[in-house]
This record gives sequence, C-alpha cells and structure tokens, in this order.
Amino acid sequence: MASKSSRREFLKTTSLAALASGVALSAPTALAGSDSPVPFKKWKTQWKLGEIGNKMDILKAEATPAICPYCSMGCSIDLLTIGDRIIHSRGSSDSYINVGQLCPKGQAAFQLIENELRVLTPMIRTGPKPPVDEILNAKTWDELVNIVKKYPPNWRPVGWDEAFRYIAERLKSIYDRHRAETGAPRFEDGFYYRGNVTPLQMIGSSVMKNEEGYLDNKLAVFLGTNNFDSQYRKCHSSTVTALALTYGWGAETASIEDVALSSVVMFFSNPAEAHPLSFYYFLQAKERGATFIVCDPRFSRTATYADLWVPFRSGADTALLYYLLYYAFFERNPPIDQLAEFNDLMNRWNITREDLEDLKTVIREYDVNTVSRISGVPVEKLRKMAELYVENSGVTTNHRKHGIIQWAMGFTQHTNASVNIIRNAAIVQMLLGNVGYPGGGTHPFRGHSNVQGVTDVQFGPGGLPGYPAVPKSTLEIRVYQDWKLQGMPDAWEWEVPQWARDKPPFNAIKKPNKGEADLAKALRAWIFNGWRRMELTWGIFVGTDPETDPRNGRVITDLPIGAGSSETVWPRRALDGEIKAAFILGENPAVTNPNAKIIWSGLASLELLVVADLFETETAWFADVLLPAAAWAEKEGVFTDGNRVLQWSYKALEPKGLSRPDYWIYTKLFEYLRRAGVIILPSELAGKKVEKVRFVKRGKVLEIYDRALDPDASWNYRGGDGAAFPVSPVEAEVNPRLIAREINFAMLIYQGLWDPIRDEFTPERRGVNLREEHEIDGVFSKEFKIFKNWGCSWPKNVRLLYNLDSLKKVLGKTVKIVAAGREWEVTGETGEILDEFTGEYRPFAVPGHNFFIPKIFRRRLSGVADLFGGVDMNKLIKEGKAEVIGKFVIEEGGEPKAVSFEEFVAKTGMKYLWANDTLYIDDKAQEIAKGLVKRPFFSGKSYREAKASIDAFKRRFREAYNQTRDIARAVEAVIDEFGRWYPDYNFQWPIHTEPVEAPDMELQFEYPTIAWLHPHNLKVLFEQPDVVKTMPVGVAHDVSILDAVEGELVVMTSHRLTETFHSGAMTRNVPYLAEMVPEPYVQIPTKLANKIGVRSGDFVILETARGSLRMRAFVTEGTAYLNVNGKELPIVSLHWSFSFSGLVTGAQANFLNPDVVDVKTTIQESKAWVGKIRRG
Amino acid sequence: MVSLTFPRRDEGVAVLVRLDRCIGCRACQVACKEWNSLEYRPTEFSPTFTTPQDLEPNVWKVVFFGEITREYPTGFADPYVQPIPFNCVHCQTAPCARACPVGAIKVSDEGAVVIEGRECIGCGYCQEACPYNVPRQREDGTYTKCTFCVDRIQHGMEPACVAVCPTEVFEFGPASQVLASAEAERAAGKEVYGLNLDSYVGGSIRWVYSISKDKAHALKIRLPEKATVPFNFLREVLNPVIRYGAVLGAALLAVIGVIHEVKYRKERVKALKEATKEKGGKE
Repeated sequence: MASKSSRREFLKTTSLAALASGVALSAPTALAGSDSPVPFKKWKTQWKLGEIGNKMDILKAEATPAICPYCSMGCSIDLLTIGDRIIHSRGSSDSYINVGQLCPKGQAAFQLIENELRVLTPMIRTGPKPPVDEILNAKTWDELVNIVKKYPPNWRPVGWDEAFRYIAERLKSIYDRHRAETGAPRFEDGFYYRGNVTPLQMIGSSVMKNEEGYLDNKLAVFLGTNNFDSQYRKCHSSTVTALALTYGWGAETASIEDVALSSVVMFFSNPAEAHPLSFYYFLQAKERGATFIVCDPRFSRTATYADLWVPFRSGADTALLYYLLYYAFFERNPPIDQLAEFNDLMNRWNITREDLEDLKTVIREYDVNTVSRISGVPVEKLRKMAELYVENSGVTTNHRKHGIIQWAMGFTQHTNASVNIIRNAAIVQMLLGNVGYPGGGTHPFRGHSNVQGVTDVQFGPGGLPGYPAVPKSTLEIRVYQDWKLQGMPDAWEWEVPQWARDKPPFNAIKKPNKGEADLAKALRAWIFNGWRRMELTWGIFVGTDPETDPRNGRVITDLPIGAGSSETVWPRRALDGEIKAAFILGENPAVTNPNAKIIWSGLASLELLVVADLFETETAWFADVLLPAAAWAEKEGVFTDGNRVLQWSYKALEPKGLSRPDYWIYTKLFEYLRRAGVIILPSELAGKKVEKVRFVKRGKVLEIYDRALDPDASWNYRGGDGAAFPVSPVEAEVNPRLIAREINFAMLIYQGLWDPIRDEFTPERRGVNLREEHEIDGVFSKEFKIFKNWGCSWPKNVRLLYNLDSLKKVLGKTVKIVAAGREWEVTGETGEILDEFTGEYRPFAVPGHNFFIPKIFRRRLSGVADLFGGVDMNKLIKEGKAEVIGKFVIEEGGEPKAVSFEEFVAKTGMKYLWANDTLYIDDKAQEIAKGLVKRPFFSGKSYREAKASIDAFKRRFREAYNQTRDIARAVEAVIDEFGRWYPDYNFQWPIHTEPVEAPDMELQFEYPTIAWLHPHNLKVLFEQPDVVKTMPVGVAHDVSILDAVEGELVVMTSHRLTETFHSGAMTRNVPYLAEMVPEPYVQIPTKLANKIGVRSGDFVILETARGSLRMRAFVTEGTAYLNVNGKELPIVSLHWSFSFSGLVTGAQANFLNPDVVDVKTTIQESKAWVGKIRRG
Repeated sequence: MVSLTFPRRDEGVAVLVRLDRCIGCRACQVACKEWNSLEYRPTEFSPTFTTPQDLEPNVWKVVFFGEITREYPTGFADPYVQPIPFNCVHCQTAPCARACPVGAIKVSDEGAVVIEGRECIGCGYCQEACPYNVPRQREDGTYTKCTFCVDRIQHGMEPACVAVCPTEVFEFGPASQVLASAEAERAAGKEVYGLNLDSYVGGSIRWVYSISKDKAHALKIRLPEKATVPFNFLREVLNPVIRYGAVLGAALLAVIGVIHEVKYRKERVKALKEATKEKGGKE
C-alpha cells in the first residue's frame, strides 16, 4: 500500500523538469536534433502541455479539491478552474481513498456543472398536471409516457423572490385549512403537532452536503411534520435498521482500507461497478491471496474477480447465509461452538447456551439440499462456498484470518430484508468472529456520495438528526421533562419515575432504579440527550409548563409527535388525500420509487409540489415550482463517505445562473414561510418564551438558569469568523460552516467535527501519514494501515466499529499510551475525544470500541449541569465564544447547591465542558455494551416455542388458499383466525421467507412471505385507494395470475452499471456517460433467449401485474438459469437507471415492480418480482 | 513514403496493460475524452456492451468486452467477461507514419506516434497501413487517433488514461523498465502480447498486454495475432521497383492488392462474426 501510493506520488507530483529528465535519459540519442524527414518542412518534436485538447492555459488554473458527488467512496476530485471555467479535472493525488485516480463517473463529474441542460432559474408551472386516473389506467410504458407528455409543465421563469412568495402563499392555504380542521397545534393536553398528520411531505437528497440534509430535517420540525425522508429509505434503510438493532450502529463496520486485510470476501453486490475505487483496495486483498465469492444472478464486473461465482435466485439470500451456519455447526469438524474462541466471543453477544440451542433448531432446517432447492444453487457449489468462507473466518483461524460480507441493493430491497436477510448477515459475522477485527466486518456499500451523512443528519420519519427517535407520545415528553429535572443524567444516574414504569416504552426498562441500567435504559437516556441537543441548538422548547411539574403540567413540544411517512408509503397517502404538499430537493422519486404509476399519480395528486434540481427531471415534470440547485462543486460542506469518514468538500466555482446551494434554499424557505405565518411553533402559541432550567435534588428545587427561546436566531447563518469565515458572498448570506458548527453540538455522533478549543474543522484534515505508536490509536493505525489523520469519522474518529480487542486478539498485545496527562491501557481502537480537564485529546472508548458505544455512555455532569455545562449555544456556534450561563450543582456539607462556572472549575478542574459534554466510557458502560445475536422484532415467543403455531399457520394458509383460490382472501382468513400474520413468532432469529411475488406457489406455502405483517402491504393487498381499484397496479402474489399472460415465466431483478447512477438524472444528462450507455436493456440468459428466439439487441416485452414495457435484450451466459424446487427458472435483470427525460432516455424498469415494502423499514421489494418475457 | 528514424524499442516510453487488474470501468475511455476535449456523439445500443463498438474520430480509446468460458480456480467452468482497454498501440516502427505521404505523422523521441491534424491531407494511407485499424477520419477529412498523450508525457505526466485508472492496470514508464516488467509477467506464466510481432510493426508495440493464460483466448477480440497488412508490407518492399517504373511490378502489385483485399475483408468479417458469436449471435 505505502509503496504503491508513493509511486503514484512520484509520478504525479514530480516537477516537469525532473520527469522530463527521466524520460530524456532513455530517449534515443540518434533522433535528438535529427533533420526533418520531409523536405522544406519543420519537423514537430515538442508539444506544449494541453496542446492536443486545447487546455494550454492549464498552468494558470487553480486546483480545488471537492468530494465526488456520485458513489459513497469519498473520492476527492481536483477541479482546475480559471474563473468560472473548468479547464481540467483529475483525482486528488493526496487522497488515501483514490490516490489520484477516478472512475468514469468521477472523471465525467465536471459535466454536471458545465451542462447545457441545467435549470438556471426558478420556474413556476403554468400547464395542467397529468390526471391521476389517466396515469393509473396506462397498461404499457409507452402509453404512460404519452399520457404525461400531453401535459407539459410550460414553465414560466421567475426570480427567487417570486418563487418563494408563491410557495409560501400556496403552502399557507394548505396549512390554514389543516389547522382549522384539526385544531393543531392546540390539543387538550398541550401544544404540539402530530407530525404524522401534518399534510406536508419533505424529501431530501442523498447527494446533499450534511449541512443541507440537516436543514431539511430542521425545517421539517419547524413545519411540524415528521413526514420527511430521503433516498436512504430506498437503498439501505433495511441495512441501517438491521445493523443498528444488532450491533448498535447501522453503518458499514469498517473503513475502506481495511478490506485489503480480508482473507475472504462474500459479495452480494457489485462494487467493481457501483464503487470502482473500492477495487483499489479489494485487489490488494486479492494479491495477498484473498478468496472472492460473488453471489449474484448476474455476472457483473465484480464477478470477473470471483474465485467462485454463485448465481442464485433473488430473494433466497437468507437461506444461502444459513447454509454457512449449517456447515459451521453441523458439517465441519469440530463444530464452531466447540472451539475455545467461540466461547470467548459468546460473552460479547448476549446469548446463553440455551439461546444457541434455539438458534441451532432454525439452522438445522437449512441443510445443503434444502438451500439448493430454494436458491437454485447446485449442492457442490454451496459446499465450496461455505467451506471457503467459514474456514477463512476469525473463529476458525484464531483471528489470523477474517471474512467480509459485502452487500448493496441485492440484499436490501426485499420485504424481509431487515428482519431476515441483513439480520442474518449480521449474525453470521458475529458467530464467525468476523466483526470488529481487521479485514472482517459487514460492508454494506452505500450508493450515494453522502447517503451515510444525510442518513446521520436526517434519519427519516421516525428519527431526528443523529438517530434519536422522535417523541411518540406526550408521556415521553413528560418523562423527558422529569429527566431534565434530574439534571440530564446518564442511564446509571437516572431514576425512571414510578408513574411511567408500567407504561410503554418505559416498561421495557428492566432496571429503572438509580445506580443500575440495562440496554433499554441506556438507549432512552441517549434519546433524551439527543432531544436536549435539539432544544439547545435550535432555541426551541420540549417539556412541560411549569417545568417543575412534569406529571401534570401542560405538554409543550416543538418537536412534532409521532413517526411520519417514508418515501415508499407516502405516494399512496397522497392518493388518499392525507399528504397535500411536498418539497423534494435533489431527488428523483419518479424514477427511483417502485411501481411508477403509483408514484407518478401520487406526485400528480399534490396541491403543491416544489422540486429543486440540476435538471428538469422526471419528478420535476410533475412540479408546481422548479428551483435551480447549485452543483456539487459550486458549494461547500461536509460529505460523510460510506465508511463514515467526514471530509470537507470545497467550493471550486460560483453557482451558474441563478442556481443556489440547498443550504441557501432551505434557509430562505424558512425565512419566507416564517414571514408568511406558515411556521408557527407550539411554544409560541403557548406563550412560552423562556425555559426555566431547574434541577430537583432531594426535594429541593435548584435554579440553574433561565434559557431564552429564540428559534429565529438559530436560523441566522450570516457571516462567520475564524475557521468559519465565509468563502464567498453566497456563503456570507448562508454559511455552511456555521451550520457545521451547529451539527457538532446537535448530534452526539458528529461531536468532534469541530474542535471549539482550536477552532478547527476536523473534516478539513488531509493527513496522509499513519499514526505513530505513541499516539492515540497509533499501534492500531500503523499495524493495520488505517489512515486516521485524514478527515474524521463517527463515532469519535473510530474507523473500525466494535473493535474492542483486536490488538489483543490479532497482535497479542495490549498497548499503553499517555494522553491528556494520563496513562491509558487499551486493547482495541478507542477513538478520541477532547478532554474536559486539559482540552487535549484523550482516548474515548477505553479499552476499545464495543457494540452500542457511544449510544451507551457515562456523563460526569449528570445531575450537575445542563448539556455542555449550560453554555450559550447560539453564541458558541455563531461567534465561536463559550459563555457559560448555567449553574452547577455541587454538594457542600451534605446539601446540594448551585454554584457558578468559575467556582465549579476551581473545585473540579473541568473547564472545557462544551467540548465533550464530559462523556466517557467506563466498565459499567462496557458491561452492557453487547451485540444482540438474539433480538425479537415482533411480540411473540422463541422459535421452538412458536414452532407449532408457525406450522399451524402455514397449514391454514395453504388450506384457505385451496378453498378460495385467492391469496388475498386466504391472508384475510389466516389473520382473522390467528390475529396476526406469522402468529406467535417474535423473529428473534431470521428465517427464510419468500418475496411477495414468489415464482413457485409451493415455496410460497412452505415459506410464506413476511410482507403481510405490515399495514402498508395489506393496503396494497386489500385496500388500494379508490382510484387504483380494478387497475393493474397490484401484485402477482399468486403466480398463476400470470398464466393468462403470454411468454416465459421469469424472476425479475434489476441492476445498474459503472456508467449509470440511480435515477440516471446525474448520468443520462452527462454526455460522456450517456455516450457509453445510451439505452437501457434487460440481461437474459442465452438458454432463455434461444427459447423465445431473440438475439442480443432484439427487443423483448416484459409484463408484470403492473403492466408491460419493451426493452432490448442483452443475451449472455452470464445470467442465472436455475433449477428451483425442481423446475427450470430463468432470472432476468433489468438495467433500471432510465426514464423519459434527459439527454438519453428509455423505458423505466421501476415501472414493472410492486410497491410492497420491508416490514420494518418500508424499503421496497425491487430485487425479486415475477413476470413474463416474450419476443417483442 | 517518408523515411523515418524510430526510437529503439528499449528507448522512449511504453505501457504494460495488465489485463488481470482491469475491472472494465471505462474511466480510461472518459479520461481520454476529457484531456483531449473530444466531443460527445450520440451512440447506439451495443450487443457486446462495447460502446461505441469501435474507435471513432471522437473516441480514441475504447474498452472492448469479450465473453468466454473459463475454468475458475475453484474448479467450476463458468462464463467470464474480459475487458480489453484498447487504443493506438504505438508500433515500434509505426507503419502509418511510414505510409503518410506528407510526413504528417510524427514520431516523438518518446515513441509517441502523433497525427498532426493541420498537416494531414486526408488520403487515408495511414488507416490502410494500420494492422490494428486505428486511425479514424473526422468530418473535415483529416485523420485522428490516440497521441500517447504526447503533450502530457513530454511534461512529466502519465497519459490521461493511465493516471485515472482506479486499479492501476497500466504500468507506464521508460520502455526498458516496462519491457522488463513484461518479461517478468511472462516468466510468471502469463501470456504477453506485443513483444514478438511481425517485422511490419518493427517486431513490437509500445502498448504491451499481459493476461493470465486461462483468459488469454479473450485477447483475440481486438488484438490480431498477426500485426501486419500484407498488401502494405509488399508495397513497401516493392516500392523501389515501382519507383523505377517496372510494369511487372505494378501488375504484380495490383494482383497482390486484389488478393489481399479479398482475403483481408474475408478475415475481418470472419473475426467479427466470431466475436459476435460469443454473444449468442446467429447469422
């Protein structure tokens, strides 16, 4: 690695003269100065730099590094500009991620900026919208496109002021009606918005900067809606939930350079195409002798590096993973649970031997023949796969080797993705000892440049920035107020009030008393800590009035109550009239959502749709207002890459035309909506202007301070000083650096991105060196070659999550270092945090990072002071000055009393309280920080206890279907009889369940889909909106529905390519990329092609329960043609990044798939559905 | 015919294309266009995934994709797709430069073979002479092709396609060093293409390819076994005869020319058919 980058360094940075001489050394002397071979003509021997491509002013250009806007690798691109002209772009040679290199999208990214198709002025629609029933009536793609094209937007260009006034006026009328109808935000028990009922849906993009996505969430809260979401819902929501509920955090567990240390990688994905730069590191692993197993029905460019290609049926992922465990427990000798290392690891998983027996009961059902029958993979291939993976894992090699499971959409987009598929991957990695060790881990690769960041800062309809859940009830607010009165304690210092202990969610806390804690209690303390951060940084109020009477006071909360609607379920809510307006910035759901007719009609049914984008996207076609957004390098801010590394992306040039960054748009929206009276906070209506911050100690009320509420001040991002000095006039108006400072305090996981003592933004660090042994995590960095001085990462600059003891297990040593004046003994990666005593950095998670840390934390100021010591947050964020206005509770002579900051510092020495809120990890925290191999997802019993019920349920389902020949009625009958789908089972272990559209009814009865556990899916099944009834927008839940359709039955799945990106808005409009992939196609196996008589390039017709479309076929042996349950079953894979608007266009694959969703996260099932194919 | 002096094969620069490292991402194809400011032209669906399907006046580098069947290290015989990044290979004694009647094709000290657009008269001799079918005619009639990024390599930079490659497929450097690397690859059991070619190209080219033996049959998708154009070769040999006006020579040339043309076209068609057959095509 090191030698490689130094070679590149040499080649790229040596001066012209130095390399010219290098060439000259080997240049032929015979030719030097030789005469022209053509008479009377000067023979050209020298070219000027840039002469061929007319870039000769390149030497005058200025290079600015910006982070690539496409995938999540975090590659850095140098844009060489003169004024507003881009002369050249190249990979930044200093970046450890892309070492000067780029993929085709990164290399073409400059064409997103200089592009004739860009929208450069705000525009208001003058044309009528496509009517909803016409859209829903369309039977084919071509018909659908013809319908919407009949209703063009007929834009009227306007200025920003007019556009904002228009939006404010239209939204005001919708809000006025809503407030009049519901009385919101005035309710009997207080003042609040029901965030799921407010008729506004907000959607923020995954290519926004953190500062932009954060404002999206903030604006949603100020608008009283929890109906907000972003693209992450449709790509990795199932990953985030499954991993977060198993490990503590939903992110990729390790950083990219770590994959070079793996010994075996199991790809359920295609990073060679979706994340090309990752192969710089994957190939290093390959050179070290790593084995690559590629599980994919389509032979991808990743498969070209496979040692074993495993084409399998989409949707059979859980079964495939279970066979790894079957092999490990029942076929290998000795079984892994007889290994000493397994026993060591068990302590970290929170399971008993008894639990393990229950799990093994499930595993036993997935023997090689069963898994082969479900997945279509031949037995010999399965055996080879399991042997290669298990024998190269941590538990079987005593951590000499580790394996990685790598995935993307192939895993995530299923109705059972979170509960079964990804949960199983997480469990497999724990049981095989692969999580938290170098070269191991779970590696979900994120699709968008900042999808990790935007998920972090804008979690979605059930969460707030940094992941704390939104309040679900007024009871939660009351308990929160009580927690505040106890002095914002950590879980151990917190006493859950008696009056809440028997009520959900507090009844889940098994250790409610002071001095003890369990995971549920620790997580609740973390949520409350999160809400407090929002209150302080946004100048809002969440609590009761009076503050000292949490039980009976009026509830007043500016955080809306109740989880709202996600990206995938809101279109049907719009059709039902529940959602009336939407803001969609930087996203194109018209193409990325499943079941195009549903999303298009949802968009068309809105009273107000505001879209901001670079181009006139398919979504913009339905908009009332289209706002011109600035492109990736026309603004600045932080991107969090797929492995959680935060990097600063710099501004290379001014926005073109009237376009503006999203941070500017959100802030202006706030100002206009505020002035127009759309934004009215509950606290304002309640007349609450000041929070009286009080602590109660032994019945005594202590005055801490009075906090003036000033929500408008929190939206003032003008100016800025020091490291936050604005980079240009646009940023002087709305400064992302001030927003970044705010994020630093608003979100626990991002605390550390700004160092308030040194006024330094850590994402701006571009250190290319590994750490020295005496430094924090120095041995770790050096031994495992992890670049910890580049940017920062969450949490607390930890790069390999759950790395509790890798120094001990892999290197066989513990390490002692001195930091912040103390000695620390560590066994893994600790990360770092500013020390409250010295202001220097100290190790954070000592002895190493474990599961759920720092959701689990201790706080020295528990019961002593407000968060950050009670500093004036607005002043600290805007001016960088720490002014403590709160008091501190100390015990003197057995009596509690409140003292000033100065007195407190004199007594304790803690003088940098705002730098870290005095958080730390101790033995108590480590003790409950365990991974959850066992974790129920529904109410019910363990597998063995529920087995009889599950069997009875399956029998009844089959029987009811045989009676009615109708799946919907059979489902109804089962739910009526048992009270629930999958009665009794709590899904504490994953099980294989079929997709909603299973290709074989026998499998559907044997492994019924899990989908009917979610109300949205039942809505799709039973209660489609009126306008939808009798129209082909349903599901082929019974494959025999397709019997009447001509053609061969196939399982359909979808893929994208290196050269294309998601909805295609960012690639189909980029000339250099459009040139390489001018049209979509469906990849089909040769055997199927022969059967239906088509060759590569011929058209085929694909038909599903949603309609049909025509596409070219790409015929190859590299597509699965399987034998599933004794029957031949071809898989076809559609390239999905196309639609009707842009430089190149084509049929939209997401026209064909159903909008059924994952039962926990509502991600759509767009990787396994069924249909017929025929020559077209 | 222009009489040129070419740098020796171990002089100047060269590139080793290590196909075993290629993920077929086509960043090289884009980087070439970006550096050389080559304009976008609409393309069509390609049944082989190669897009555009061959070099074009505005596309100097193309990644070809060839599907084959291969024995995997784990013992399973499965399909396999080999990407082959391809551009002008910069022949040791470039036949195009020899064929150019006006000396518009320059050979730099580094060994870069560059068509000077302003001097080109559009006769097409270079294209006919090229055994790799590289030069392409622009709308203005002049010919164009990859320049080896001569304007970069003369200023201490790697060619654009080399610099961008995310997996470091291309080893660029002094020819002597690259030749040594290629020999090392061969010694390690890999197939190496480009060092033992026909005398027509000077025996070798400056863009040398290496690939594992079990995938080597994919090379033929774009790299001919014989790097020669027999007609041109003979024309060059017979050139003195023509110059002195021997009727016999002219007649012989004509006959050979016709034979060659027929045979050459047949071979091209056959090669193309074979290539498309891999994709399941039936004529």
